[in-house]
Amino acid sequence: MSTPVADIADQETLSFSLARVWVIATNTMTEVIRQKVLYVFVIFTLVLIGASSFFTQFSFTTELKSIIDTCLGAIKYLTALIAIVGTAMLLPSEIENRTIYTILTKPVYRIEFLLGKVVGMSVLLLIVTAAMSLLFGAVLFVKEKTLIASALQGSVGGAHVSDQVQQAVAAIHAQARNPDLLKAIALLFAQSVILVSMTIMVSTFATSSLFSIIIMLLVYFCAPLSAVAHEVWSAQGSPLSHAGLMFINFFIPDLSSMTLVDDVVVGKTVSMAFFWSTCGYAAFYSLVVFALGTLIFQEKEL
Amino acid sequence: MWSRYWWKALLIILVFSPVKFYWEGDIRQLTRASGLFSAGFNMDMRGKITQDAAVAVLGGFRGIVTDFMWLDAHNDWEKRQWFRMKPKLDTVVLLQPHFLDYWDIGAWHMAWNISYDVSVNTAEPREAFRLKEQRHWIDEGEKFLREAIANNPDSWLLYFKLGWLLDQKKQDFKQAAVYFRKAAEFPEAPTYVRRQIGHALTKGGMKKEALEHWKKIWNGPRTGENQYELWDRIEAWIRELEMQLKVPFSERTFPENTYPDSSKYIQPPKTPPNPTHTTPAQPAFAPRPKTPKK
Amino acid sequence: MYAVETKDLTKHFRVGLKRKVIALDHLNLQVREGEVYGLLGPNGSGKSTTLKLVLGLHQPTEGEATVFGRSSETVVSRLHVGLLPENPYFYRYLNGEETLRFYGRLCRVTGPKLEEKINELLELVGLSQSRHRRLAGYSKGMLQRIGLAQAMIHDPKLLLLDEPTAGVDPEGSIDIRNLIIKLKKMGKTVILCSHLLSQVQDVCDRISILRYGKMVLEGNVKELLSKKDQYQFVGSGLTEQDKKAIEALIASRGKLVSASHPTSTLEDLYMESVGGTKII
Repeated sequence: MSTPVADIADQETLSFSLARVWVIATNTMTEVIRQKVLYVFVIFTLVLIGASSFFTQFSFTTELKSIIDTCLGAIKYLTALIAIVGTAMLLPSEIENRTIYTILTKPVYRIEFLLGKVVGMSVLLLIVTAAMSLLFGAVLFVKEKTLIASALQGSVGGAHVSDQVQQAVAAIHAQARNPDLLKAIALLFAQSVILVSMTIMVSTFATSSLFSIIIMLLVYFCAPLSAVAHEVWSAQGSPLSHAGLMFINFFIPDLSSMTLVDDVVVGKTVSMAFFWSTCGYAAFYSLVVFALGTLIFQEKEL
Repeated sequence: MWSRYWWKALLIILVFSPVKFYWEGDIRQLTRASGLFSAGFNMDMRGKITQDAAVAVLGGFRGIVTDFMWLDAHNDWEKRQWFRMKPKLDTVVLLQPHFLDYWDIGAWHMAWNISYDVSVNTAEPREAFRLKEQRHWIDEGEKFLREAIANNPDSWLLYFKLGWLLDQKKQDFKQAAVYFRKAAEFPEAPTYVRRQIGHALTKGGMKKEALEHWKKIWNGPRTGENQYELWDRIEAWIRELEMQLKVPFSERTFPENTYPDSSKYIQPPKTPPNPTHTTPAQPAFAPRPKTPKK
Repeated sequence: MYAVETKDLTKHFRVGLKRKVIALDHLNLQVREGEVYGLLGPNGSGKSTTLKLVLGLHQPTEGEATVFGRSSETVVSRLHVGLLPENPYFYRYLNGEETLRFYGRLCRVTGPKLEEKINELLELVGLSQSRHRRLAGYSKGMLQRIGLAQAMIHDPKLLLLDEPTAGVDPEGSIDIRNLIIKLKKMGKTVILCSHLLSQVQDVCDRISILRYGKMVLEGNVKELLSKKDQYQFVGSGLTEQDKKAIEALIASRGKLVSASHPTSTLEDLYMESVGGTKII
């Protein structure tokens, strides 16, 4: 037992290690999954089945629209909920269970620890979002086939039956195989990452997980309004009030560009410039907020 | 100990707030350029929907609220409660003005279904009154579609539907032709749209314009989508109009001996139907076989 | 170089807006390499605070602490430190082996070396049989032992043990004591915080006693405890007359303080009755 086991035991320096981050990330994921978060899929499946059977309507396109609206809405809110609630409980449970002492007294940087938590939650949300999208895609696929079969069988009377049917089928295809749906879902994931980073930051100074959750829910509901407020206030006021506004605005992420599922369903396209700008914004804001969280956490007395 | 970091935190916030602010503005510009901005939310809207619905819309459930309202309107239609249905249709398009089917189907309900129903309403004995109601609902449908076009000027479908309404319900063929033309200008408009121009012109008595229109199509390209054009029907319409307008044979599109009103007419041989040949059932949307050019 | 050295280490905690609590007041202690050092004191005397400052969990208000020459506030200093916390708690859904693997990876011990180390440590603390059982099913004593194992996963030169025998049965207690002695033989430095004074007495080389954040006593155990003015002989096979003669001799030269049968310890009696130790 005299030879050092750890290959860095006698080194003078200790560098930031992604491997350590990943160890904490996988541990976080395991912990969250064990909290039965995967039951959310049960809820989601019920929503899917409910939506497909409930919205049977006269018109194919409105029926498809209702189903897509409901399912995407479910993905939006379920991922946001997991992001906020799941992340809010990470730090308080570690501190309460005192497992945090066993980690931070090892040669582990605090930033690695926090980053591990964020990465773990983000990867988990990626898996959850992808799985929900696949389920949704399957439902859409089946529904598309059913609707096209109905379209071919009967058609609304008129002069150009075959043309109408052709148009109906084309419309169904366009709606169901809309590639912008994928972009919309990707942007929902971007929203989740922002929520995870911000929740971690809040939980570094929050006194309990409930406190973090309440703050984050408030932020989440104020976020759409910030877009409106942005417009109104930037048009008027002095430079000082502008500065004050910017300061407050810092704490409210603009999630409107990430939750444009409504517009995509209605048929609007998402340009690549917009998509990348929004993803960049999400990455930027998450990093800045994470940096703040790290700062607070570094100085936190445990 | 927080005294050690508060100034670092403040620095981060101060430096990055303007970056965030302007990046958001940039994204909003891109949003507008793509036409992605939702229809906003104002007090007008708030007045038309319940408080819970308003909260839901603000909370991001706009699409779902609209879906339920549409379902509600559909139920009203089935119960034939028109005066309940109309405000709901109005609110649906107010919330999501860019979903074309809401406008299309709403106008269809008004100008076709409701107008028919009120015209045969046995509860109203006065025919004049029934006719007045019928006319009212057709007008409502037209108004609805015009508003639709104002909100969605890039849609061929809405122009087409307006033209169709004017053609079928108001017999205003001249105006119908105008709107069919507008619809046909869009490259994504299907071929039947331009055919409607010809029909509207013919029905409106503008036979010369109709003939010119058919000839333009006839002489136009036959590649891509146009290979599925009803070339044999167009040929028949050109022939008919040329005969009706008594166009001199030298100016006609086809050889003189193929016109029945010419002295040089040669009757094409009648091909007896082949008893063993059965026409294969064609799926409705399969491409039509290419007609040989004469 | 000392294993741990504190220079005027002071820590204040702010309570409310104005009041502050002085947890440590200019503490100066030195722990030499290779010794077993006992940190004693009543509850609230600053023992835990000292450990936390040495481990970088808190920042000192004044003064400094160093571990093998490196400031305790750096992460690098923890390369050589292992902690067994008071009432250790781990991830309940992991089993013994997985727990050690997790902490090992965190300390960048990987691959076959890690597996070897895990086997070694599980053997050492006597948990090889329970390696596949989830920690949720471990008894208090087993948790303490797995805690020891994870503290040693990266082979640190310094071990901090905070109440290692709290809530552990006498057998386990002895096992842990034997382990500490073994660690000392291996050349490791151990700092022990305990309320079990008898155990500290058996195991530690040097101790210090804290009270209200100040050190009131420090020194070598044997030196501190020995009653220098008295001397003890233990004999066997003596008759009553022999005893009387010896008593008289002592009385004539000095003062006879006491003469009686020496007692065995309760611990030895217990161990004879119960039998066997778990740690080799």
